[in-house]
Amino acid sequence: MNEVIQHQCTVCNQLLDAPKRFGGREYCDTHVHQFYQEPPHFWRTSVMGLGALLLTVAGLLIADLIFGARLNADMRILAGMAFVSLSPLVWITLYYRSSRRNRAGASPWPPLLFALGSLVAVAVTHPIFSSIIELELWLSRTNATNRFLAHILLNGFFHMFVLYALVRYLSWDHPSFDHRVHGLVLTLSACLGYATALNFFFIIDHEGLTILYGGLRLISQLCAFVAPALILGYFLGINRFEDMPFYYLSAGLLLSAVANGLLLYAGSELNYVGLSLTQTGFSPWPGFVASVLALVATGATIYGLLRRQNALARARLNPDL
Amino acid sequence: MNNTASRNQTNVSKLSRNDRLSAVLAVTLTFGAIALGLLFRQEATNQTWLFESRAAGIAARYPAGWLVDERGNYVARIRDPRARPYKTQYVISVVPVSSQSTVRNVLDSLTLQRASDLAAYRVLLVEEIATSGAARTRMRFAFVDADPNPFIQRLPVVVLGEDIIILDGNRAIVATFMADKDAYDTDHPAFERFLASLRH
Amino acid sequence: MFLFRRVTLLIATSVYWFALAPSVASQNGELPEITRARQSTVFLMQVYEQGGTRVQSCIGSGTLVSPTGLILTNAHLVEATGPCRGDQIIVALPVRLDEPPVPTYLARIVQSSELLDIAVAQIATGMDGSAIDPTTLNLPFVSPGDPSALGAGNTLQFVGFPDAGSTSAMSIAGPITGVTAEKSGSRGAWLRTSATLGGAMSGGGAYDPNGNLVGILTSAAATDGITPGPSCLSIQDSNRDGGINERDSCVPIGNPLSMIRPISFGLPLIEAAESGLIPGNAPGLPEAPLAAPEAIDRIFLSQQISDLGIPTRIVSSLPSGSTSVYLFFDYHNMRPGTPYEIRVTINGAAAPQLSLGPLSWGGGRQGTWHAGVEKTLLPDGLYEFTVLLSGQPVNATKLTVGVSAGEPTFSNLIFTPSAGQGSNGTAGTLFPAETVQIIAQFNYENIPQGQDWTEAWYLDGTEIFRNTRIWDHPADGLLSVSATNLGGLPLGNYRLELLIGSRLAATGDITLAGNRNPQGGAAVFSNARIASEKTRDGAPAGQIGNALPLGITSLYAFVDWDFMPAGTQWTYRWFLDGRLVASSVQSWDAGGVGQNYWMSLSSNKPLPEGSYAVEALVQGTPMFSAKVSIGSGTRPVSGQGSSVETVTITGTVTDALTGQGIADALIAVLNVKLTSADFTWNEADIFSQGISDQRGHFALSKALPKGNYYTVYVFADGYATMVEDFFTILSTQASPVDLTITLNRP
Repeated sequence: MNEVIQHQCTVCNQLLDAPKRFGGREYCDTHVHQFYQEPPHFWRTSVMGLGALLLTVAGLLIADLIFGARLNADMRILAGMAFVSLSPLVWITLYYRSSRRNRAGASPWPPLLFALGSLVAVAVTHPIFSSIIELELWLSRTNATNRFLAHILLNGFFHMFVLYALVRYLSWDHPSFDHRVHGLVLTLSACLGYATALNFFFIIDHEGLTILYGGLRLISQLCAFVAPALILGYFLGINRFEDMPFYYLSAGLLLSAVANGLLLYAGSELNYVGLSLTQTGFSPWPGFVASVLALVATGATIYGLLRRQNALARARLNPDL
Repeated sequence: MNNTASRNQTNVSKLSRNDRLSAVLAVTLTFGAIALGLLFRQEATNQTWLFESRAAGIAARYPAGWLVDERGNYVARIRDPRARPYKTQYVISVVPVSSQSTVRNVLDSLTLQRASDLAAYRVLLVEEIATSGAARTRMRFAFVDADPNPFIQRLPVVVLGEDIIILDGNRAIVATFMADKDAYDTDHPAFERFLASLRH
Repeated sequence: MFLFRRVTLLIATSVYWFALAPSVASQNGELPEITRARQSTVFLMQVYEQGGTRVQSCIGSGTLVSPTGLILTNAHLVEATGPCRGDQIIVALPVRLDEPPVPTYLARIVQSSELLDIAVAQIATGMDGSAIDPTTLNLPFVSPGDPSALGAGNTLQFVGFPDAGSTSAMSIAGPITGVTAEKSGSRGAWLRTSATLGGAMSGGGAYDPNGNLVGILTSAAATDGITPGPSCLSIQDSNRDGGINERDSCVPIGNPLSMIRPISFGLPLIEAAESGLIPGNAPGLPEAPLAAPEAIDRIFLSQQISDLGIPTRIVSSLPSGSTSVYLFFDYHNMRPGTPYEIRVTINGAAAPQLSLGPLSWGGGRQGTWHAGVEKTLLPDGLYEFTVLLSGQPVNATKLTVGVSAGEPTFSNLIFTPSAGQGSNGTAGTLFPAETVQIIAQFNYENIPQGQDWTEAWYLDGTEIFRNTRIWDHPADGLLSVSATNLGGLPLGNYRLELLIGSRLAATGDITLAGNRNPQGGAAVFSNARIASEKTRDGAPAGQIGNALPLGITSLYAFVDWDFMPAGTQWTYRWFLDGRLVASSVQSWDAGGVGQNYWMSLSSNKPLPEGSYAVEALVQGTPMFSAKVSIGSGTRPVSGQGSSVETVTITGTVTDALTGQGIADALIAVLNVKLTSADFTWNEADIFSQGISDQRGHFALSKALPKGNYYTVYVFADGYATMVEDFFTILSTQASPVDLTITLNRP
């Protein structure tokens, strides 16, 4: 009797008699030339999302000038929620619509992961950090070095593992995950839902924030999640289509956790500008500017790395070209 | 030609060995980092500094980052600068006793003084306890802390406190713990550790 | 055209704001010095308990002169005298300047002078009687200024509560219109103003343009405190019968006031109060209760007053262009606190620039009093000077100005002990026992030949000699009369009256008291010694000598006394390292001769180390002084001298993200030049600190010396601790400073 090994396409699970191979993974004829493609609508949508972020900042400045301190707590909560959710909703909506235009049947995973990310933030993250660990209270009582390490070990690893788990254990095997760039898309979707929900809790727990300073702090926090999510999404996207060493994803998790912790720490610490008779000791701009610059730099780096990886894959799979 | 009766088909799992190891490593790494962070937090929370008074011959370990004041009618007052609305504090004072004095005399003198200095001062209970293997007396009390300056609108705060009386030869060492009523239970374990570290 | 209209509108708007904004700001704004003065002005209520209810007895204003709660006010508002019969002093603070004051503390009197009608009270407890540590109060306060250069024409700001506390402290500007002399304070006793000031402003402050306190507003209520009326308000149901009516006690409210006591009279009391040292003296012989009514008699006018307090020229008319006049009168059976007033009219119209009071009487039971003006042009007319007690006229006299000089006068009366008696012959009003002759010398003018004139001598109010003669001297010249007893004139209070016809022309009072000192003057006190305690019988005890150890809480200066007539005005003062720390002006009531009369200086804590001195004066003449040192006799030098300029810092701590104030944040400023690296987390390293309230507002406990940089820590649970190592206060920094601190979540 002979044993016959069945081969499946990594993406569509189609049984294959003569699979195509790349990076230790097996593909059908269709998907072997698909995973390294770069649908332009992702980057376009991301740039538009960044534009929406900057428009949000302009909106904060204008709203602060007009309304200033005249809003009561309830209005501040609603306004804060509206401002902080604008950019993520713009991105998720634009991406979903453009992906429907670019393919037959858009993947349901981005909005699904957005919602699941929010749910996990509500049901798991917020209760743990506010009631069990009481992280903010402890951070206020300890020194800067401890805060730095705590942001990485507690904040960074926890948050990035949640995103990792959502993508790795839910959408990893779905056929719609057929491009490397989808690693970024799915991780980013989960991250935006997750971070937005955490920001909502931040607003509610503090009974409404000031329009400008509070809004800038929330945007800084959003950027502190999005940039590491791009890093994690890159690693997930590469590993999905290549059988990388066992430590590869963990390295990505570690890198993104450190980035998340570092950006959360810097977003707060950089805002101390010195106390004097003319300075109050705080400005929201340094932390905000650093977070946005980090996001842009990370996005550009990931963009460049992914393009290079895709070009290499294209070259290897199309030697005649 | 298919011979299904004589062929066995095995599906190769899409997950490679690396994928499985990677999953385990990611979970292990995450939980390890969080455990390390929590351990770190625990150590930092329980970090203590040593207070020592050569003149009084008293030493104890108190929470790191608290302020020590030795300028009043006490050996030391150690308080948490961050606590709100009342600065949780430990006070070590020494009261002379004679061969005819009892612990009750010490408690009475404390009560008489506090009743005039502290608003709405009440003794809640007096009981004998055993700490560090020794029998000691505990007095629980409450008062209202209010800022006398009317230009400063601090709301009056209900403060709970506890005195532990330790007879030590011709003196009584009084270790006092005071905290806002809502923080009393949370902060009490740290006082117990402080008490356990007290040397005289 | 559209662009032109837009530009024009822009320019017009800019002009509007630049032109009007400052004026709008100046109308709505207030000088910071005046705001601080208003913040430092308190409303005082003297109350007593009746049937479990606190009943207001007197009301007025006071001024905080230290952050530890020392209040400068009138003695009649806080002492239980006259119509004010309360035994508790309630202090209401202007917590918000646009609202009525809030009763907050009880105060006790620490220094008081009935003569000057000045008292210093110390905030002692909360309204519930709970003890307060004054060092924790950190209240707004004002600093005394220098009134010596003030005179007619200067403009001051007057701050106080104008009515029964239903409005906030008011600031009213007004000119000084003149200076009034009075026996309580000699020539510069009072400043006068024409500003309209409500009676309850009495006890409040007068401020110079720099915001320094230069005077104490003073007015007594011209009422007996029983009969309701404009000067006695019915504002409470004191008998709890359900209604406010004539059966309820009324609250005296001072008449509209115009008198300001210069702050220089209050400075010794403030200094003594700040030192925390309390003077005391032996109790006198029991005084018989006053049964006879208060009386004013022998009222007359003099053109001037000598430095010894003797009227220079008694007049009933003055020529045009006269610029000074003094009113003299004798008083009997006067009760302390009785409202007294000198009301002057010219041709029937009120002359406020010459009037005085109503003021609270503090001159003792009986004696001679005077008040007057100098350097004030007196218009021609018929003047009437009326003395009122409790609002009722009791005596009056008239003066005509505009009559040319020419009437016969005696003037410039002086007294000397006779030559050849071993005395120095120095003119004075206090002479020792064994004086055998008192010579009274005086000028005379325009005395016609044949004019009858009388010389009358009195001893302790009883006439002992009277001689009427016919004038046979030239019309103008110098003459002497004398009182002689070869065995020595009896001790006591003497009075000489010289009359021309039946008109009093000259008068003067002198006292014979004490033994003769080597210089020939009077020595009332002898055998001075200082002890740390006294026995129950009033004898020296404890440590005795002029070098005493640390740890004592009292000093007792004991003296024996000889030949001191009752009622003689005398003063004792204590000094610490040359600085006056206590003084008391009294009428002698311990009998003529005795031993171990004590004057004390006490404290609740061990007396500070240093050199102490005590001195006593009788009628302004030094009688004795003694020195004692405690410890090494040298005061330890404080770390930061009070002469260093400082900045008072208040402010707000806010949340960076919500903008809300952070309650109970601790702000700690380390000692000068101590950095965060040097901080040992011991509170001895903290120079000044404060805790924020519900709104995030805080006030640092101590002002920061200028020209330094400091390390500042700001702690609050839930917020990252702020540490600033170079918080700089320039030497040119104005004070106070309002600081905003913004804390961020970690």
